[in-house]
Amino acid sequence: MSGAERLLVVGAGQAAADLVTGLVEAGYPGRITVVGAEPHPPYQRPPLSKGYLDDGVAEVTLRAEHYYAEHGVHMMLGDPVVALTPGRDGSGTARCASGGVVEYDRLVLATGAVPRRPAELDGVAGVHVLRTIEDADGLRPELRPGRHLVVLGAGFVGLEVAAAARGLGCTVTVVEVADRILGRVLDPVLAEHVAGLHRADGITVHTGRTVAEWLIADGRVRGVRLGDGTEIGLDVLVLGIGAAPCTGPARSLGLRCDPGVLVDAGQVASDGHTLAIGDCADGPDRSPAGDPTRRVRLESVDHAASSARVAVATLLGREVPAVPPPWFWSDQGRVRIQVVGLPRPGDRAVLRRPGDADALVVGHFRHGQLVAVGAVNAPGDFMGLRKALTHRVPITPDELRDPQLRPAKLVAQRLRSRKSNAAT
Amino acid sequence: MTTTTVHYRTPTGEVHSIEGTVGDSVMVTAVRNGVTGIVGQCGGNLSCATCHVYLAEDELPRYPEMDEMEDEMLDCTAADREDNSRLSCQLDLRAGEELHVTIPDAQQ
Ligand SMILES: Cc1cc2nc3c(=O)[nH]c(=O)nc-3n(C[C@H](O)[C@H](O)[C@H](O)COP(=O)(O)OP(=O)(O)OC[C@H]3O[C@@H](n4cnc5c(N)ncnc54)[C@H](O)[C@@H]3O)c2cc1C
Ligand code: FES
Repeated sequence: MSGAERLLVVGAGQAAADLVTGLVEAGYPGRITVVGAEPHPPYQRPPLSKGYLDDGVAEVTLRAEHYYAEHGVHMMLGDPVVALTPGRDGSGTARCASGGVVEYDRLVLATGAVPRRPAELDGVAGVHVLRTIEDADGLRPELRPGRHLVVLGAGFVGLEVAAAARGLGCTVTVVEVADRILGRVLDPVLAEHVAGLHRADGITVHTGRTVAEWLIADGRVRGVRLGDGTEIGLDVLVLGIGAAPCTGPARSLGLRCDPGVLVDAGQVASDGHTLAIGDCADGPDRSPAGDPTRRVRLESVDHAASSARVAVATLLGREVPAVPPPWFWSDQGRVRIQVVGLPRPGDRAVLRRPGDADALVVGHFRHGQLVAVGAVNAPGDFMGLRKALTHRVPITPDELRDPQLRPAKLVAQRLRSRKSNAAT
Repeated sequence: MTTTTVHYRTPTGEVHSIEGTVGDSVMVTAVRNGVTGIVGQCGGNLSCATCHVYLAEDELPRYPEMDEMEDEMLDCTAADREDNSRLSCQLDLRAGEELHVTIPDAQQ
């Protein structure tokens, strides 16, 4: 290789922005090109299902465009990569939709994920998914007071849209195939607590129901028929049934994917050279007491940041940094959910009732050790317990349960005494 | 668009003076301009506490008392809390009022 390394980043979302920032801050000597399918510089998606639906003004851009220019980062936006041709040792050539060609010495895939959408709803009006600014701009004017919104799928994005629409005066029904909401990620007691809060706010939540038929008239969705025969009329349908990782470019290189691009502890894919970060990458379980031989799919701002941080180290040939326990948040109207760590079936769940009726915390213990926490409307407790996990400060089930004990205080005390013990 | 200046002092003592838009937060202004050390993971939702700053003592009274949520979050920041600790996503830029903040040495 002659001259500076030419690094190509495919995808210009959260993870790409975090990677570029990390490389700039670390003084990466190579030349960085970012190719993104969307016409916008990297932006934050979380507000799109929350405040942005409300007022449409929430600022979502991450770095200002001048930031990239000032640091010599070449941004090619609105021009997806359509083909990758591998060269030697991780180098290759990317062809863009515009016909443009980019040669690279090293490649990072940061292509994110796209919402799942049944093919029979293609081209049907009134059907929405939510991933991009354009999706949100298309949905917002539909959420007028008195209209009936049906959300299919009670995952985080679906419930956020449901709560936002309810706040805007819509009638809202959520239909979930599993027998409880947020089944993949939240403890059952906590999930039931969340469902109760949404019901109290007037959202109808059906669990254990499938959609048997889409009722479509004049090219617009008018309703759904459920598996048990119930028909629900509707004005707007939002699909919140998950997202599939964008692995087209990875597969064209022959990289192993299942379903995301499989990467090792350094975010390196199966060819030993190409890196993958963010929603498109399935990496080792780095959670407290996690099993690093197990690959996990994490779709969160935190994972975008952590995986980018690891990738920066790999690209600079540095030791891979320890990453803090994975966490995310979801704001659903007045319901504020925060989760850290990866709970598993078989963990012992211990409840904490902080006093406020809307608040509930669950600690997950594995072999007596706190490994994950889910919290609803208890940000102070959550932050304290998250700090305990980050710094491996032991917390017992009895301490977690005791509403008189403030986790933040306990953790601060233990960290202080750890420091003074280390000093003596 | 009205602007005002925020002076960000890094843990090593460098000062970055950034022209920001009135109404934006100190966090957003930092992120937009790539000021190292203010992360703002949650985008200003009071969910992450990665936007911790120390605000100049004489500028503290310009803002109303922090709410309980911010107070509790500040107890769990990565760097130690001080009397002038604030979450910078809760500090908005105001016309004609320059701000001076110091960035802590860790956010997570
Ligand atoms: C509505 C919504 C709300 C969310 N709320 C939260 C939340 O509250 N908390 C939380 O932690 N997380 C939340 N998330 C998740 C979080 O936003 C994602 O985990 C994060 O954006 C992942 O970053 P990424 O860079 O991997 O993917 P993305 O941000 O999706 O970026 C990937 C980019 O790559 C582009 N791309 C794909 N293929 C190509 C190609 N062939 N060529 C060029 N470009 C390509 C895509 O167009 C996209 O712009 C939310 C997500 C959504 C959609
Ligand atoms: S940006 Fe998350 S709390 Fe301020």
